[in-house]
Amino acid sequence: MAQTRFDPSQAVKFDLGRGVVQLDGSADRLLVPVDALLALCSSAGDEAARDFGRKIGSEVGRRAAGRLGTAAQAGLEDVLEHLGGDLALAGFGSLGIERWGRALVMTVSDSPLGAAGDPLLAAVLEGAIQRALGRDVSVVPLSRDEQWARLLVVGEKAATRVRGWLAEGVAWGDALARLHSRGDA
Amino acid sequence: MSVEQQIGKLQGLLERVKRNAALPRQAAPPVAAAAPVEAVAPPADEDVEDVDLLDEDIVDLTADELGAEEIGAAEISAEEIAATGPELEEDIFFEDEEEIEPPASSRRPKVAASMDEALAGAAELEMDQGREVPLKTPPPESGRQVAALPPQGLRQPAPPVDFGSDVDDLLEADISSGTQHAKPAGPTPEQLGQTIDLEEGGGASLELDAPVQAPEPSKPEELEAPLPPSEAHGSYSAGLAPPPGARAELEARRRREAEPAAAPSAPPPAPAGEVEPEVVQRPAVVASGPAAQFLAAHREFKPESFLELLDASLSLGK
Repeated sequence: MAQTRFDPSQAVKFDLGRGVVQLDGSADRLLVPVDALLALCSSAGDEAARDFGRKIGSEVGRRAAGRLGTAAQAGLEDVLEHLGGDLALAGFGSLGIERWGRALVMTVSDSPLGAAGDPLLAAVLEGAIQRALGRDVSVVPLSRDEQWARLLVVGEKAATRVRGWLAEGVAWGDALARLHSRGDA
Repeated sequence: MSVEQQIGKLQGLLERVKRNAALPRQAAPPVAAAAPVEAVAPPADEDVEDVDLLDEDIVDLTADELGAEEIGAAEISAEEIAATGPELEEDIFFEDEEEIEPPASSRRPKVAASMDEALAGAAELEMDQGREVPLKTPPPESGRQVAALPPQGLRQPAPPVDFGSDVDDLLEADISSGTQHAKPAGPTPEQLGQTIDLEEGGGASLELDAPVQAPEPSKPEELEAPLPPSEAHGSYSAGLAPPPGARAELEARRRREAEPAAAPSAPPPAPAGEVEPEVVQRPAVVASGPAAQFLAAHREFKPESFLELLDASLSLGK
């Protein structure tokens, strides 16, 4: 394991003479308004927005995987520390991890995208986990309030069922319980 | 009977009186100051010295012989009484004589047969004595008046008194009820007339108890008789029988109070012959370990790495 703590020092560089913003170890960045980004994602459609978000997440996962070392031995705190650090450095909010039985639930607080940006946020997490840990996952938004967004990390098939239950009005807790009863847990 | 014969009889009578006076009397017991009530003398009629007078000794002084006997009687009484001294005065007692001493020429009033006769006798007596006696009650401002003795026929006859045991009963009734007229605390004039001076005692000393201050009975109201004093004021009669079952209840209460408070679960001793249930009590629980044990709702899963948790989450829903 390369390091245990996330260190953001000297991570972002602003070259005002050239008018370039650089993130350590990455290509040039562009600072854009959130509303304009959301309007673009909304106009582009769900699939295009999901691809857009996965590309952003892949860059985040690549940076976290470089600090995590062997991803297979990384613990919950290590992944949360570095993956959450890189998401916060990109401006997506503060990451958290919950475990409901065997289900992995990630929380993001103070995201500037709001409820309208939860699908984009879910796509970012899917790209980051896939790049950092090498697993294809589907992230389903479970609940949302003013500050917190709760997102379930499952496979593609389970994600489809949960989306169906939530569309039927089943509470996210009951959806998790049903997911555990139908599985091999 | 001539005057000489009457004088002779009177002299004989005087001698008999002297002899009786010389006889030793039964001295009255000393009266304790603490018991003045018992010292009350019986009616005056009892204390009159028993003078046995024969029929021939009795001088019948009637109205017919007044004119001849007045002078004789006055002479005899003046001479003989002066000669016999005070002893004769002790023996011969006349009622109401102490207050108003009749003159020597007084005579025995004749019993009047009717009211008219009594009034006529009173008027005659007034004429004889030369004094004016009002027949009616004078007003208070008229000063002291001389009242004439009413004739015997007008006097209220004395109640018949049985001198047996009824005297004591009457006296006790008077004391207890208190409705009779108050009697004087001291000796009556009759007793004073019979007082005999005792000689001084020798070396013997008498010890008298301290007088007990007896509570004075309250003055009864008119037409209200006080209750007789009783010794059971504020107390219960010892002769009252307890209610049935009170003794058994009292014993049971004493047993309950005597039992220690630390053993309330001990069954009370059942009385003989009473049916009691057979009680089976649960034995005390002796726990070898904690009584509560929490069971897991599902198979315990604690991932050691993030990848393990990720794989478990990806396995859901397959």
